[in-house]
Amino acid sequence: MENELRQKAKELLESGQVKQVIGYEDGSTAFKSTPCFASSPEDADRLVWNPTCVNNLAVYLPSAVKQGKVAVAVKPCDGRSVVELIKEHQINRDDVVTMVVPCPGVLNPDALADIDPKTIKNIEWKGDGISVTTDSGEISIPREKAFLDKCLSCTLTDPAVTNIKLGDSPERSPLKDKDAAIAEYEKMSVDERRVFWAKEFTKCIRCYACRQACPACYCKECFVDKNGQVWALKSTDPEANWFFHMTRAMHLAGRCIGCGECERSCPMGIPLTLIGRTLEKDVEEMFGSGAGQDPDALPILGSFDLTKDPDPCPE
Amino acid sequence: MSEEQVITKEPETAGAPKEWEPKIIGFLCNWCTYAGADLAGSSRLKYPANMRVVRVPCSGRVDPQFVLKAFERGFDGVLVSGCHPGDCHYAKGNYYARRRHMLLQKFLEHMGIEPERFHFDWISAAEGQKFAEVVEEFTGQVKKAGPFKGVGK
Repeated sequence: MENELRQKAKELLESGQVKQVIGYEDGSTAFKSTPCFASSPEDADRLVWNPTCVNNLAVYLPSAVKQGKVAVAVKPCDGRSVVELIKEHQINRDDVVTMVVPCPGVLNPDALADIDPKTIKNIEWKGDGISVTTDSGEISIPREKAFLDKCLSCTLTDPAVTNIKLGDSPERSPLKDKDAAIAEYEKMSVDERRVFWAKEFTKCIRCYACRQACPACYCKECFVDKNGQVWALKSTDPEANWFFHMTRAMHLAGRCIGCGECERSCPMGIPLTLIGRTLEKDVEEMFGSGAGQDPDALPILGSFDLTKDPDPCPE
Repeated sequence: MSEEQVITKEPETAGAPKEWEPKIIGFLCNWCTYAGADLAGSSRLKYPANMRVVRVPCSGRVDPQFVLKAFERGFDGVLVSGCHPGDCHYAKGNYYARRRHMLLQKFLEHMGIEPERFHFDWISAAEGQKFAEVVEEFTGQVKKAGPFKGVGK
């Protein structure tokens, strides 16, 4: 699979069809990979595809396409981000070649908790789960422990903007209900939720990693960075933190595809995907359409439907 | 008079504890609801004076950020109101506003703010009576929900 990816990347770069290929390469440790920006056929040999390829690479597209056409390796979930970027006119459909890689699921770092990280040599998919090669031998980790939550409930097919399909889609049967975490959360009363979020947002150190990792957060100047109109205090006041996260959530309403990069990048462990999924569900219930499906659709909050939109005060 | 005095201008009975009055902010569209409020006033209709009005050019001007900011600053309730469907001065601003605020209300509930604290409504320039009723009802509703405990603790 990895060879196929490298081969395809090489072809694209050699023929000059694309200026660069964005994929993954080995990181500084065997249990992490890092984004790879290959701009020559030789660079393409660095590309890898293994369970540690977690990042959503669509985040680099708006700036990368400025230098010319880009090919990007995406998992089916990340492909949704590409759809959103095209839909919102951040990139042209013709400027991006979407290479969809077959994804059985990506690594949940918790799965390696019992293994000494220094001894890890290699991580690969094996059977239903993953196999970790260490100094002292091979360790198999079953699927339910090995992969991220979003992968365990994943039913996604190839995104609508697929150009090149690498390999065959693995058989995927969801192990978990997508909304298991939400169902648990929704048991709380309204006031309990207020207290819950006040507590969670107090942890926020306003590093903005969530925003940086988010492919939908591409504003040239974020509302929290503005100095003229200060809507959100830059300090870590609990209220200011609440305001930042709530406003960011509303900005992502109907646009979040649930890749979970915000939560994964959060150093303080704030359950940000819970917000995204809650809002996604509300949007689906009220307006019936989800994010990242149709690149030609109109943005949900940038359009309306006279026949279907709910009426706030029916006469 | 200061802001505080404006809402508590009823004469105080000596010694009796002051009844809590909710602080409400209203974002009213210039063309319909603001004129409706004007009509309510010039028709001498009575309604609670808890609401501070912010006049906006269109309900579509009301960013959810305004509403969030109001709650962040500790307002007990937020009202957003504009022209009826089909009446928007800018043709379709209220349709965008409707989507946004219906979603916001639901989202606020999910994030721990009672839906009673937020109200989105259509009030036309001719509906002075409706304006008075909506404000009265909304103020009562917020009063029932009690003082907002804030978003930070």
